[in-house]
Amino acid sequence: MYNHLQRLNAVFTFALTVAFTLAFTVAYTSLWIPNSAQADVTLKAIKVRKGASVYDGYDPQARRAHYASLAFDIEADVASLFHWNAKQVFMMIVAEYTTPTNSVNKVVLWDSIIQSPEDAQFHLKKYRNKYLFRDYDEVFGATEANLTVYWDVTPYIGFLNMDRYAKTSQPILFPRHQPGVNSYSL
Amino acid sequence: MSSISAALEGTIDFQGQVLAEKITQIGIILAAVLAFAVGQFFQSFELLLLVFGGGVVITLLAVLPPWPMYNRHPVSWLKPLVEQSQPGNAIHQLTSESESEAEKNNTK
Repeated sequence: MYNHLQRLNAVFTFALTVAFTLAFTVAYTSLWIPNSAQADVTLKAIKVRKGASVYDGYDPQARRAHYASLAFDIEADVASLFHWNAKQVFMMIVAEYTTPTNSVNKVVLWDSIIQSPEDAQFHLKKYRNKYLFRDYDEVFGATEANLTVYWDVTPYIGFLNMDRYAKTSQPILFPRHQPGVNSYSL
Repeated sequence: MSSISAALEGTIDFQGQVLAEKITQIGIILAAVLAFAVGQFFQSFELLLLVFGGGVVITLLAVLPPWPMYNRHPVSWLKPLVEQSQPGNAIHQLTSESESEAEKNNTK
């Protein structure tokens, strides 16, 4: 505190310490802000076809794999996730199922980054899966799967914590278990 | 030249240093508390950063320049003692010793 440089140093270092404490307080308190966000996904149609994917051309197993094409409606209102420390919301639809060989399977079918509360209310109709849906085995070993919406609030400062709206409207029934057809609509 | 370097140095006295330290701590902590409250109230992270930054700048303005309130208690040093001449101690002979001898010569 004796001369200019020492005072500058003292103020700057103390300001940094306090800024870190302030940042931690903001990060910690914004974890507990309640929200009333909800998102529903409704399956409209599913088709399973056998073949190679244009995206998966270098995978020799892809030729024999089964791919599922889905059409679903998404009705979401996640505007209340935008608290003062929220930069954006990452939202994804995950198909979860169990097969005899793998007990936990999670496949991301669709995702979206929502950057403002104005864009956080939407009703998308007959959307198809953005990413390929195939099993780890070549053929779907499961009889049914559940669609779940997960979301993730990206804060300006703080922790990423994934939350989910676990209201699955109905399970997907894979059509190969229905004799005679390989697709159906709801 | 010495006055320019003194102005650049901006020294303050010991009591002033205690005061400056206190003002730094109170100012910045107050800025942080106010920033959190304002940000929370207006639900704006940007406002939090602006209020905290503004508080730090105000604290710097209050503490950095050697304001007169930091120099109210200048240290009063004792008057230098006249030392006896010792052989081989050239520094003493140069400063206090030679001056006092000159004074004696003048009185004679």
